[in-house]
Amino acid sequence: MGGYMGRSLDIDLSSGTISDLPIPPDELRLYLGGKGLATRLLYDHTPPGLDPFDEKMVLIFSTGPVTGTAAPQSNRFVVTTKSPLTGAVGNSTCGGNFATKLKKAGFDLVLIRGRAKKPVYVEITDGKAEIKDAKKLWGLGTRATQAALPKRYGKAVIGPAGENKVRFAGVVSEERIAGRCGTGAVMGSKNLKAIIADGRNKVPIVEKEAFKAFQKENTKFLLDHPMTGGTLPELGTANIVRTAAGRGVLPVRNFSEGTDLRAPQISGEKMAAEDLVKQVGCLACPIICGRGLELIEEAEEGKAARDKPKGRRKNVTKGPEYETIGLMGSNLGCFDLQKIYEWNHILDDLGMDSISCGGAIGFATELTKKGLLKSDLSFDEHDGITELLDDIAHRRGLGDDLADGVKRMADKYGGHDYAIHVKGLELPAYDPRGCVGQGLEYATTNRGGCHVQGATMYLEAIGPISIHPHSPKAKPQLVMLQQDIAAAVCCSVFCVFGTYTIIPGIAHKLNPQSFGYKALTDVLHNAGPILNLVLKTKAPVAMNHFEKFIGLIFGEKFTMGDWVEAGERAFNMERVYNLREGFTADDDTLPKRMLEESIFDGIEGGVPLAQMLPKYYKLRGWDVRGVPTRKTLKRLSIRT
Amino acid sequence: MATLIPSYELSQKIGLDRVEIDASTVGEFIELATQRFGEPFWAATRNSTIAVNGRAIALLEAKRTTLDGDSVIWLLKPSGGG
Repeated sequence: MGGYMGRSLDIDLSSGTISDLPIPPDELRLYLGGKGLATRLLYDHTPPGLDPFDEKMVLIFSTGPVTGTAAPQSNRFVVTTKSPLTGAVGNSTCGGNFATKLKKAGFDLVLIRGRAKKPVYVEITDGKAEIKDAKKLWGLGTRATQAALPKRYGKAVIGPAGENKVRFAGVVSEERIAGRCGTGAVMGSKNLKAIIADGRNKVPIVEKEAFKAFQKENTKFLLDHPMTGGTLPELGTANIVRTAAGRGVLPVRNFSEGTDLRAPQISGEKMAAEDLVKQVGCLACPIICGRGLELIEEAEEGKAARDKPKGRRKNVTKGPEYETIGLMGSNLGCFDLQKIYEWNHILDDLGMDSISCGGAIGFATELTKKGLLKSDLSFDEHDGITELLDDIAHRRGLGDDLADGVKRMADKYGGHDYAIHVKGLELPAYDPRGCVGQGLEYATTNRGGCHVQGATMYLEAIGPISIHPHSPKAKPQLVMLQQDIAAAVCCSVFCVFGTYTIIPGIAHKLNPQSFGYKALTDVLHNAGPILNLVLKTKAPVAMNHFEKFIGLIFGEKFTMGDWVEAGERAFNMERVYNLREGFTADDDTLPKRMLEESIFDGIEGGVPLAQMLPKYYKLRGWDVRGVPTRKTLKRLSIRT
Repeated sequence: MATLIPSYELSQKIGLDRVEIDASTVGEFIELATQRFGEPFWAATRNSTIAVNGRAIALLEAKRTTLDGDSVIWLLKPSGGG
């Protein structure tokens, strides 16, 4: 079958054994790869109730059929395990240089189990794998670790945060991070510092010529689209800051407010005008949304870049994404880009998720303000944050508490009403009170409070079309469709940014003040029955480029309906895993602050979750307890 | 006085990153601001989403949306990413 190397690895670090992991072709076809296949394996290879740090826990690095084909946006891998932050399924995706190299080394997936007696790394080269001593790497930051490993290899590494089992430690490749869910902590618990790969194999593509032609066509399409060819490359994801502030969804001071007049000071426009050195992109991606900034080789000294003579600002480092700006900036009451650059630089080197870290610091700051925690944290002064990040990564002092995340801090200190997490995962930078469908998405997404496993806020508050952000109408249908598409992206494994082209470029040209615009949003707001139909039909229509690439790689007909169904299957597989691990419908909720406190004039309360959730369960084919019915599992061919 | 945060492009054109005007409705604010800053301001209001205190409004509605001294108006462009 095109798209796959046909081999996967099973590496037991306890015994040091390395073997092939057989994956039945029908399972591969059902789940495609990525997080879908990995969740299936997580379910099959671990007993119920296993602690994420138990030696028997598995950590899975997976790719998809498009990985290594040089299709635009295809150079990504997924890391999957049981999250030590949430106890639910934990997965996170990452760009960088590892994914393509793993395929070229001859493998689709690597399953790690066991625990090495001393620090090790795994080297995979042209069909072979070897466990090697990592004593000299242990303790190093992610940059130094990658620099110390052979240059030609693609790398996925952890920093000190992963080594010290910080529950939101990530896995880093180049300057990209699989940040969410604490996969880096599980890697650290196995004494696994890095996994590196290289090889000369080629990913099989059945319809090669047609693939090449479509590759060109799709690249042009992405570059011509106002979002993927304009806003994202020009401003990076930080383009969202102004819009989020204007729409009242920017997290400010632990989500106690949704806007601040100082937001333009931390915007993508300001970053581009004053600090951008170069645009940075992932391999084979024409969007080039990453920011290369001049910064602070002296970050460790705590001095901001602007205080340095230009000649000494030699390092070019990755600029912060919108989420980092939101959580480490406005959420902490900080509107100083230089400080955010510095913290972003440090977070990447320590190997920590900036969303969860910012959420934890924001929560600790509010606990301090309310007298429940003794600390020097303040929403007005940020002098101690640089040191605090290092304390978190090394679990020193207050940092040890923060390293366990918001949920566990609330269990220890109180403040549950304003502990901003879902299922234990700290919320990203969109306050759901200004995009209630996003609230439903947060509540129901299997890995917890997450924005990339649906991104409904794009259709409600920040994108070119705004479907009545405060209304629950049609949102269950919209959220389900968005979640299934995002899951399909994560199975194939593409970058989620391509989904922004599902809204045609022409929509960006609509005058938001026009009757046409109002009519369009009103139609979509009343489109529940149509969306229902779309969801229940395996629509044989091409909506985007994803399914076409897969069809050409497989050499067979593959429709949007096939693709979305694979996503729906993966989403339900995750749900089945979570239910096995003890999650219930009670966990499909939001922080009390989001449900009850209003931040908008004329709107009482927060997200009307109770109005949306029952309808959502029904649409999903789940019973009133949120459990997939037998009929649903059978329809999706999910074994339990 | 109500405050308007212009889009980045508009702020470059008018040389201000915020505009404060004593106006009782959004329509009046736009009219007074257009008198002060001219055509670029009017054009920007036609091509941007107008949000008042976090809520987007359509043009007809905008004219009669009332403002008080704490009101904040944002002129916004579509965003994406995250």
